[in-house]
Amino acid sequence: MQKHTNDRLQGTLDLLVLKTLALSGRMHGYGITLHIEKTSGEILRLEEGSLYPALHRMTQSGWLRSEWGVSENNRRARYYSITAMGRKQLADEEKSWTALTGAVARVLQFS
Amino acid sequence: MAWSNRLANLLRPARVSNEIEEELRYHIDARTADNIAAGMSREDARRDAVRRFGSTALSRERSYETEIFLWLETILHDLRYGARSLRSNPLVSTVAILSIALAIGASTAIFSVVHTVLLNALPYQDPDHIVILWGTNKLNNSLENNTSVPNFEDWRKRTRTLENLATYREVEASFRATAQQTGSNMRRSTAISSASWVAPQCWAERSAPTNPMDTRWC
Repeated sequence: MQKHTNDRLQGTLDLLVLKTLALSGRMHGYGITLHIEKTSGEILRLEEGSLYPALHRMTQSGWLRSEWGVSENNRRARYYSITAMGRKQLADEEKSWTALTGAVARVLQFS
Repeated sequence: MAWSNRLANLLRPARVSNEIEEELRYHIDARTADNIAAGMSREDARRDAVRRFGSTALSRERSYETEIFLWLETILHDLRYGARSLRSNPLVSTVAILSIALAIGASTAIFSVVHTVLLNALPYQDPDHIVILWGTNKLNNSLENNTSVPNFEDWRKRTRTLENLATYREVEASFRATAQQTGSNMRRSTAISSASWVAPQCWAERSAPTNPMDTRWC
């Protein structure tokens, strides 16, 4: 069951990460995890390890930029920020997400 | 991501792998610290952080793969697609290949000229200090690089700007061929006055000239 939830979340992970970075600017992976947990009212719990391959993939695709910086507790951490290409991708994904959830909602309301 | 970064990643896989390791460790340590701050015992805090993270091995491996291989896969994909479309349209492919070949040939030719004429320094000392003197023909205002011997002598004696002057003249002359040589014996030649600094290779096998108007065939 756990795995199932995770899979469903996987498809929207890009969207969540892009949105988080678009709103909050520069963040490290742990910060992104906390932000998604907190703003979703603790409902969306990432399998935290799966975040990193996604971050690296999105960086390779040019949606994110990564750089090393110093964290709040004075340690070296890799920080991510969104690029112009990432913002375009975010707009696309938000649009298709709205279309999808709208369609599902209409099906559910049809009775 | 910049191409330079991608290539750098490919050349320094150990560094990529260390950075991923450090990034994941940071996450687990930060979660542990937050858990302790929330009142958990050190052990529980650590255990919870590790549990929430899931498989570090999987995360590490997947991150590494995207960092090193993702773009390589994209390139291979593009190459395969390119090869397929070239094969499916032989006429267009032939034209394209010929145009590229022609372009490469032209650039090579142009570059070899530019290289010898503009980029290679002349074989003289301080080539940027060498100038040609021109005169103006007052009768028709034409620029000419011919002058008379007395003029040249005057210039050479009175100059304060130039270190030295030499003169040259192109002539056509017949040379007697030796027994072994065949073919045309008409040659275009340049007669150069004494200054051995102008054409060192021309004077090399001769002793230094004494008379300034000594000429030598080159």
